[in-house]
Amino acid sequence: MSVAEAEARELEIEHVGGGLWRDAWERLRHNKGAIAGAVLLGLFVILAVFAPLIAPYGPNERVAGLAATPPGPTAEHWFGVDEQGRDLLSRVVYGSRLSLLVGVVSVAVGLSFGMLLGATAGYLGGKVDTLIMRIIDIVLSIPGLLFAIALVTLLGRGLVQVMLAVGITTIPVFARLLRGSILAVRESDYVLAARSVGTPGRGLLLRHILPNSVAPVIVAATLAMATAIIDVAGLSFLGLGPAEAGLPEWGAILADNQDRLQASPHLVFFPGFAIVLSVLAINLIGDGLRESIDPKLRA
Amino acid sequence: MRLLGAKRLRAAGLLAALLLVAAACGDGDTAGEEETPDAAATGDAGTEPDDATETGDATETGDATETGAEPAGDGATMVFGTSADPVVLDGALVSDGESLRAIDQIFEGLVTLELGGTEVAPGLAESWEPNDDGTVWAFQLRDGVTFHDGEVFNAEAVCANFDRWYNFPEAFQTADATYYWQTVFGGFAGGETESLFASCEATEDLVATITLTKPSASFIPSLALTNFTFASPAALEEFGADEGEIGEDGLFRATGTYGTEHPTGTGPFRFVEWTRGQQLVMERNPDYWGEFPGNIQNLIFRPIADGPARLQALQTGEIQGYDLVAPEDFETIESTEGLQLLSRPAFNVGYIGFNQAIPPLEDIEVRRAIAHAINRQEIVDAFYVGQGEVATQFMPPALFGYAEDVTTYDYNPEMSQQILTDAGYELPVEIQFAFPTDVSRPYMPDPQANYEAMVADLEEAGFAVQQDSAPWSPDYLGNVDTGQYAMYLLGWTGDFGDPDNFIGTFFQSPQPAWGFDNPEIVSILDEAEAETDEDARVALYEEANRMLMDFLPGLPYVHTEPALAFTSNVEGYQPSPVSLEPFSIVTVNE
Repeated sequence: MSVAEAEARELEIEHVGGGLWRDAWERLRHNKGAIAGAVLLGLFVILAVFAPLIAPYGPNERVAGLAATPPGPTAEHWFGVDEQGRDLLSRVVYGSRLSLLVGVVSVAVGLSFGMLLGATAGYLGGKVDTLIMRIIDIVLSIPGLLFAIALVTLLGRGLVQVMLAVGITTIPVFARLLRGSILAVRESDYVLAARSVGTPGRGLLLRHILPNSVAPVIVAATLAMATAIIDVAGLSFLGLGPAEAGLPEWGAILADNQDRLQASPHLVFFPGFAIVLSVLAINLIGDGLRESIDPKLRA
Repeated sequence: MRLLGAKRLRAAGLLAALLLVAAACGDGDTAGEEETPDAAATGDAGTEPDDATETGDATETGDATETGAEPAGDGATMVFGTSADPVVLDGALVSDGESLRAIDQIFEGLVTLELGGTEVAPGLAESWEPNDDGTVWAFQLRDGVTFHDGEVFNAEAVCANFDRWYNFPEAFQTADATYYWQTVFGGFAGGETESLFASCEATEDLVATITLTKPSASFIPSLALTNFTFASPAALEEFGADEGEIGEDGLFRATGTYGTEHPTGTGPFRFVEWTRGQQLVMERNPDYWGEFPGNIQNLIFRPIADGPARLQALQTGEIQGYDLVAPEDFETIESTEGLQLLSRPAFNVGYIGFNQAIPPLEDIEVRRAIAHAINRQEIVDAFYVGQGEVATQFMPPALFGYAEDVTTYDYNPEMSQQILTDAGYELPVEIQFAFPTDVSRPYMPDPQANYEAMVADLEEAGFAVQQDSAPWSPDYLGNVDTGQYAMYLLGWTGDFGDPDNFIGTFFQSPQPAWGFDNPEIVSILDEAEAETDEDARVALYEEANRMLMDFLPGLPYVHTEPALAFTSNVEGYQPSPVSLEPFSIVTVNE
């Protein structure tokens, strides 16, 4: 190898090693699906944040008379009105607040507890690892939505309870992922090197092991947010959502109107479409992220 | 909705048990039960039917030609979509609408009600005569009536049935099994509760004499109940009608085959076969004593649990009719060529109950403010689509004792606020208000829609509503009965044409659901029940209704006319306020 070649190689290594995130960003930027997803999600975030400015009416404002079979879309009410005479567009817009909030909070709950458990198990190993992982195996053997239903039955109905329940169901996923990732990194040369120069345990974990094992967890977290939105909508649909009647939650709107499917299909179509679009957006981003930062998929 | 709910809770219960989380088990274990307290209302009780499959129709029509010696009979087959299977075909042991519907076709009682009304008419008894103090009643029975098994119907058969009901084994003495006997007659032989029934004697071959322990004005009307129809004593004996046991869930389960395979009455149709979850087949009784103006040879009840699926079955011609059409489907049915919509006279009431044990509802001013706050007219117009009228009192206008001049409460939210501030309340006034999920009743097809509109009205009138909800059975009904809710949505469908069956049921004895004890109301209702002079009785009930609407124990808001849908080739079906609807007068045109 010539000197020039060696220099070039060194540069490349530096480039890759020093800029994992910058590198990932580069890849992500060229992923059309991910960009489309990001734009869509951005739209939903704007809807959620500026709901009072964007929605033509309040979510519970009565703008038309009550009706068992409310009329469909008109020039004035783009998504039509519901049986309480409320503007459906406004309800769907306000609903984005709840759905995004639910997605973020549930995943935050799952991520924080999951990472704590996963890191503990992976780093300490031994009996602690066995104990934690067996418990997690048991929980993983129960289907997610069923587990969430049981939790809601236990915790009682309410938005917070639903977010908690859905969050708790994702804990084992994150824990197992992080543990596996940590196990792989723990034995790598640079960790050995850090250990040999006397880096204390905590520094070793926080500064060297975690940053290098967190990538797959981030991908999983993004995808979990989509699942969380679906799960919460599903719980609402089954009548286990927030106890308050008339809350503009997409799943709850679906559930309230399922019997009107034949007479007033718009009441089911628009909130359903909103769920599909938001989940699609997040999944596109998640897939893009995976392709750009998952070590196994990297060239 | 209801089924989803039950399944889901059962799943939750199973899972919770798996996790050894004891707290959740309660919910899961009881969720499978169906309600009975309000089982007077027609509709959903019982098991979950599988999808009905096409069987038997062709062979049944084949049978028809064999027995078809009837003048009007050209062997028409009618398939009627029901919301559930009957529980058991033994009138004495059921209280759900689907069982009663089927039993009505096979069995008859001493008296019946005029077609489509609530006036008492002769049934298997041609006439009846009380003694002077109204405690001994002699019934002159119809001659020449036979049961489907060929046994003769006479006074001994009548008394054998009454004795069976009165002497039911303890296993049957639960509200689930013998709700109506207990409601009308009170207790059983040797029981602690006093019984209205004393004895039945066959004084002549065709004269049955029934002795009561005290006079009762509602005795004769109550005999029109499907629950007091007559079964062949020989069949009861042969097929073990009284054999059964109480299951772990407290529900009675018959073990004999009488109520499932050999129900034997005197009615216009007789039992052929019953495949649970698929169909109940009946055929015309060729030896029927009375008139049979219709042309149905084979009558099939097919359970289809899901409301939208019943509509689809009607549209595709799989069934020729079904009951309890959802208001949102009225327009679809009326605008479809080849379908028709019939409505039942209003004989129910939907109301908001107030529990005066929970503040601030003990204050009449608060109750008045609530009454003025809710736009009942708009709710009824919108959600009952022409099948409802605003209620001014706790019983329907068709019933005697209905008072035209009760105090009414017009929609006026400003007035509500005024009443509250005048009474010294600081707005908003906090109140708790609950509604049932997973349920649809004739008087309340979509509880949540009613509820949301009411909450919006209340908040506009200066209230802050604390929302609550629970699945209809057992949670919601249990919470109402034990007085857990301050305000709640509920209603009632009448069983027979007597005010005692409405305001007597609600207010004659203090109940935790209402949370008050008003001796004046109790005494006027007691007096009215015992009064045997019709005019005096009417006046007493009218006065009771006026008192009630001044006292405002709750806010009645709707009387509905539940709707039935048929294909347009079905003629002659006569909707009845209490759902006593014979198929023997129905003609199905080709």
